[in-house]
Amino acid sequence: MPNYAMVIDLQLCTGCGGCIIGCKNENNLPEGVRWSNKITETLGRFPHVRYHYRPTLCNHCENAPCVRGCPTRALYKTKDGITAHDPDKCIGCRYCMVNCPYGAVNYTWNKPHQEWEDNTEIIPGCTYSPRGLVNAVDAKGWPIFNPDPDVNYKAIRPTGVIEKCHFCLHRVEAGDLPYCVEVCPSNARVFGDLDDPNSKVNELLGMFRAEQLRPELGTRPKVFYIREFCPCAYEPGKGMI
Amino acid sequence: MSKLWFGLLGLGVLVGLFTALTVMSKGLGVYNANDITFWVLPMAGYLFFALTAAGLTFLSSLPSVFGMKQYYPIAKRASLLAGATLLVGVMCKGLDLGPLSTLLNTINLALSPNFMSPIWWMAVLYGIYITVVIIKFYFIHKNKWHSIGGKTSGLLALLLMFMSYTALSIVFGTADARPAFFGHFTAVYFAVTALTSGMAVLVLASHFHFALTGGMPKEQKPIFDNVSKMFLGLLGAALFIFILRAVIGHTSLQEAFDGFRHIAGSGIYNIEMWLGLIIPFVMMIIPSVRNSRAGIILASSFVLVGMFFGRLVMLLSAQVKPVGNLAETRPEFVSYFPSMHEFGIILLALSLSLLIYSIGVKYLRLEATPE
Amino acid sequence: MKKLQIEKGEGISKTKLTRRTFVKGTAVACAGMAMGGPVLRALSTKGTAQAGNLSQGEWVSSFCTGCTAWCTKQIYVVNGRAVKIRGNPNSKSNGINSCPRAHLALQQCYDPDRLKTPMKRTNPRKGRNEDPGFVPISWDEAVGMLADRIIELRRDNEVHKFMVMRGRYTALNALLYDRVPKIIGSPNNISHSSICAEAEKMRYFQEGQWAYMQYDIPKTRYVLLWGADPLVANRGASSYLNSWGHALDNARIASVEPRLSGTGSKCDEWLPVKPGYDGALATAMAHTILTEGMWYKPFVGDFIDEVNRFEPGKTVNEHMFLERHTHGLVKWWNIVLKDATPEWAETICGVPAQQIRRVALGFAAAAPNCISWVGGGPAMQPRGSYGCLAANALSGLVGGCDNEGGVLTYNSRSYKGYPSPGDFQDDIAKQGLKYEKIDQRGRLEWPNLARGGSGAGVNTNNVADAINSEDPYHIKVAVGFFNNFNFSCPGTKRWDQAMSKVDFFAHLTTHASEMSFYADVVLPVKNCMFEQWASLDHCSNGHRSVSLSQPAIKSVWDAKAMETEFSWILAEKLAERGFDNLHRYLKTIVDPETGRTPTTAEEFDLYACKHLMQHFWDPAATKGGDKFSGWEEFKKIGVWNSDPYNYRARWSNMGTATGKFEFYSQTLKDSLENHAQKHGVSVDRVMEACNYEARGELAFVPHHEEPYEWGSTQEYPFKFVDYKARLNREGRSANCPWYMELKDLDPGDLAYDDVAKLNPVDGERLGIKTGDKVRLTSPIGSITCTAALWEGTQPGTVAKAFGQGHWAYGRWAAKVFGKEPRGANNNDIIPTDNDRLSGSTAFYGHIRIKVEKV
Repeated sequence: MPNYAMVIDLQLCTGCGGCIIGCKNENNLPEGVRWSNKITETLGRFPHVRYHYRPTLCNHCENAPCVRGCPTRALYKTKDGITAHDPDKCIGCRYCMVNCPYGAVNYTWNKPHQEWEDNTEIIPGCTYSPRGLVNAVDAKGWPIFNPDPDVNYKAIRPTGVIEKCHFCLHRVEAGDLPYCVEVCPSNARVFGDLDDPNSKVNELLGMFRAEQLRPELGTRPKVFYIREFCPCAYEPGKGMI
Repeated sequence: MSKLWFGLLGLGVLVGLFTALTVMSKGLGVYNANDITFWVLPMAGYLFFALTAAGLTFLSSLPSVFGMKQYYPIAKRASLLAGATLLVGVMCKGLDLGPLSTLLNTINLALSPNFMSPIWWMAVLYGIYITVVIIKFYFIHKNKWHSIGGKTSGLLALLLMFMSYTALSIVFGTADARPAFFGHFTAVYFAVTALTSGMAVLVLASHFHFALTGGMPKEQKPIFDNVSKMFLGLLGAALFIFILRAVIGHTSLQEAFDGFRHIAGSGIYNIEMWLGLIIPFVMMIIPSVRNSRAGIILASSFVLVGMFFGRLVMLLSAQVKPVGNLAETRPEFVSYFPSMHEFGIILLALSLSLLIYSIGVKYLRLEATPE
Repeated sequence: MKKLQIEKGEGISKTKLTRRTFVKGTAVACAGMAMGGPVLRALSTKGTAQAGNLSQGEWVSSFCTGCTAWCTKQIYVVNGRAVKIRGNPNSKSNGINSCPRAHLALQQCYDPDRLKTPMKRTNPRKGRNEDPGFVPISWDEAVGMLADRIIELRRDNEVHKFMVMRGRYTALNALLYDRVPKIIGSPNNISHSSICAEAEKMRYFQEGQWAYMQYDIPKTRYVLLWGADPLVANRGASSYLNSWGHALDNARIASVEPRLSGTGSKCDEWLPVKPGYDGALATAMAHTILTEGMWYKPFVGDFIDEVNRFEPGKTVNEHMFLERHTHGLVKWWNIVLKDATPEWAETICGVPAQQIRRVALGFAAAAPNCISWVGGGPAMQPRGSYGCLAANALSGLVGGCDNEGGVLTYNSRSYKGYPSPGDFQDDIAKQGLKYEKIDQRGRLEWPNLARGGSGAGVNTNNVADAINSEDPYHIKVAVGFFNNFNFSCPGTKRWDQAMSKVDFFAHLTTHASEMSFYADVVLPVKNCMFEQWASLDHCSNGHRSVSLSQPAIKSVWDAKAMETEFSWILAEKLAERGFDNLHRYLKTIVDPETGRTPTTAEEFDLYACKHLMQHFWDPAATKGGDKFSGWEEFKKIGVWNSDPYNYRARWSNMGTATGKFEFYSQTLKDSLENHAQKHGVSVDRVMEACNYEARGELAFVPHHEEPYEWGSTQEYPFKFVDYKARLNREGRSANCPWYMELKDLDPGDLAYDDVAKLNPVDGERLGIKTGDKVRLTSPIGSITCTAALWEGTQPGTVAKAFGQGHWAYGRWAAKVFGKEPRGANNNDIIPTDNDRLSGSTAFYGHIRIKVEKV
């Protein structure tokens, strides 16, 4: 069985947010929700300032606290090491949100895409209402509805359960890369099997001292970061008194 | 008086039920909760009522389990109050899960159990606990205190109280990702404050009852003198634990405690501290206040209000500072104020528990003791 | 500095992962593309059962109209509905790579607030506060109304009072933009170009290219960005996002920009120049390169005895230097550079002399694989032409011009032009075409030297003033397509006034935009990425790619293709009213395969596209690059690729007056003298009329011009720095939900907000905190938005992204549709000014503002 992991090359990452948008596109994420997200910092004082960007997503921890804490095993590890979710078992207790140190779990507070249920036309008779357009294009929820995640998740998660990144389990099981990986124009995300010594992820992990987020918690995250977002070169010097 | 009282409670229950139905049809979007502050007022209600129930269960067990027979006169009342608070507590938690579709998923607690999950244990144990508490009250009410059923249910209730309370403590205690839940220290904090709030409910209910029924029966005076002293002792213990928690929270180097430190500057924290602990503690020290009915009613009311806010303090401390990538696009600390629906749930819990108690007072002879 | 050359050139665009479905479906051409990346191995156990369950859609070719890069695209269509977007893997330019804003095209297409039917106004009064009272009408009625007005103009011999305005467009645009007005008889086809980046094209006067360039990032060893933000904004982000991380291994990168840009955060150096002082900085760098003897001799040449005589302050004898592929280096030195020391530049541009030196020498040391990348920043300012020339000259000094890892032109490609309209222009038309154009181009104060010609370039933003002053005349009937000048031109109020003045305005648009609110009829057009036959072309990675878009999705709007179907319907309506010249003309464009004459608007759309692209798909007509067996195969692949770039072909063949790279621009001198002569004045008089400081020879060499500012430093203490947001699809994506939701993708910006960024030092001084509402006031107006304190903002400046502040365009773009804007439009406070040599509208460098807490 593969043990899937991701290596993110921060130097190749350009902070464009394509992964965030791609994920929202692929997984029909409701407004305001990001499974793929970022952590940014602006460090230094003018004129010596840089902005640093780190793409984030569920770490698919080997020792996942969300899975441990889930009362009904709605959160579970797949045989491929992916931390997946079954909305039909989820009782909405949100204990996973307590346990996840990365903020990778979202709860569906309102009906997803409810803004598309509005019936108002901004120019009556000349434009659609949001609901009218969804009906006209024969979509579900929102006009760009992607049915794919229905294969082994829910294409749109119901109200009242949590939802989270599933490494695009529906794509992985069909032999496709997670969409954030495919959509990244910078090839900053590399996906693969930790148990395969020849996988690209292992090639990179054998090359760089990879960083994980909050490893001290013992979660054993499987999203690894290599290199620097801004690998500046600078003039050598010993500083001064 | 009685009609007006029941009328008011009925209105409260109706408004609350309407809120509850809205929640069950629309989901939790009607709460001012979000992915940062996701356990809010209804969860605070759960903690408050469930922990109070734990305290009451313990108090009601004093005569039967611990052999402190002088406390028989409070046992039945405490037992009913335990049942009532437990019921509304669990209801609060239920109304904090999601719409009906989510509630139906709770069947998976049986079909797909995770024995590693403290929440699973908590849910199951509270489920059994509430059943046992009801059975226990049934035996007491049938005056079968010393029957095998009565004794067993009394013992079981106490045991389950300990177990479910432990599970609840572990729910927070094992949350490594959120140190501002104070880890396993929460077990101690919960224990002391649960007893204190349970005692406050009992004291308040008893004295209110006596106030309405024309005074305390003479023979119960010594009991309530002791109860008052116990109450004072518990308040002292709670204050000590509160201070200890503040010391931990303020001195920790962990950034996660910034959330606690932020909340520690807020109104709700001050309400917990002053109204819930310091003022009633001082009141109860003063004998004239301690011995006056108004004084003790006021003190115990203060404690309950303060404790309720304390539950919210505890929840928000670990939530207001966004975790991980959720901090992007959000301020350092998020603000929170409950929605009408959240108040509605608390109103429902309060009205329902008071209604049960009032029915008890009216029809169930709560001062009854074994023959 | 790591100098590891991981991958060379073309390889970079090819290390792509592919979707198995894609490999199955279209991709014979890309069989080799799976190598290099981590490809998932097929799962033996459960995989087979699940693999078939993903939706079986189809990737259909298209292009992107989100910016002028026009990257190649494919649209994933499931049951007639577009679901996803990616770069076209068949292209050798951007390949499968797609910048983030491309995905927003989906939401732009499926926007509830898109027009689904033509509509007309019922309120005859026009103005910012007038509700047009739009009601739906038929295409027949709408175009009939327009045809009636055109027939009236022809009857009254006033065809010059007809105007066509073009915003964004496709390669088929000539039909509507050029042929329609020419056959009707109006000189007024006004493009948007001068509000885009015309001043960048002033490099024409050095290297003969009135064009945007491609930058050879995969092979470069130094990138010097001048007000360019290629990872964020126009032009070519899809490709540069792909190659940038590798370039950081191989090259040093420096960003000259008043604010820390998105790209600036992925650079070795940030040179926070004061707005408007790029010319000083660039000439100081040139000075340093020359005094240190670091110019690239194989391109520039050398002193005859190879002894460097460039010493600060000292004049050099021109005859001592033998130039190879350049012209006028010593003249430039003597006129400007000898005194342009880094110390002098430091005092005015704010960048330390030491840093100027370091960057200049690092840049020259990497010669000739160097890019001096001139973006809109230094160019699109009053007097910006010279900033552009100064920065572009550095590419010449180090031989990066047309070289590996340098600045390249677009590879050539050959669309097949449409037949000449000559035979279809009657006397009325010929008479009308003789009038001066409405935008006043070519007048003394408007040289607009596109490709060197006096008055050859457009003057988009001046049209509003011309209409308002009826100089040269009044505009009675106007057609605008894919444009929204009332939002996108600085000095928005002037446009509100001007468009109220036009008697009859027909607006072709997907959305009811600000400009539509002044229209008499609004005509819904197809989104050309998804719903019609069209083409656009893109250039990067040393290849030109010409893309085909197709009617890929089920259209649920009663919309027409703007350039083809609308022109056809208008021609029909005019013919019905007795003027059939346009209709007869359009019928000459036939299906190149069958020779069939179009009989419907839809057929015309297809034939016009096939005609235009014949050189790409017709094996008999191919002129280099990819070959196809015919239209059917081309439709499937959807993109034609040029041959690879031919480096150094332009050396000494620059298309300038001397054929050389002109540091002293003989080409500019000729053009200016020609313009001056036309008006019977001296070049100095032209420079004066156009508000430049240069007199005499200075006008022909790159130099620093003091930025011309609006407002005094006392009253308006801050400089305003406008920039383009990452998810801007020019001004058209504000109603896409992802736009507001992800606004924080711009460094320092906040989600769901429109912020003015101040340095914390300034914030503290003014008592302003992040989240406060602030009012920004320039001499021409005020806007109110949210303040954000951000260290990446230069003290003394306020940086704010363009893109929001729509009061129309849709429910999410506007706070109250038709009335109140969401956020604020920078163009409300940017004073109307121009770089008059290029004809460009100014967006930078001249804007002084004051900041008040509201």
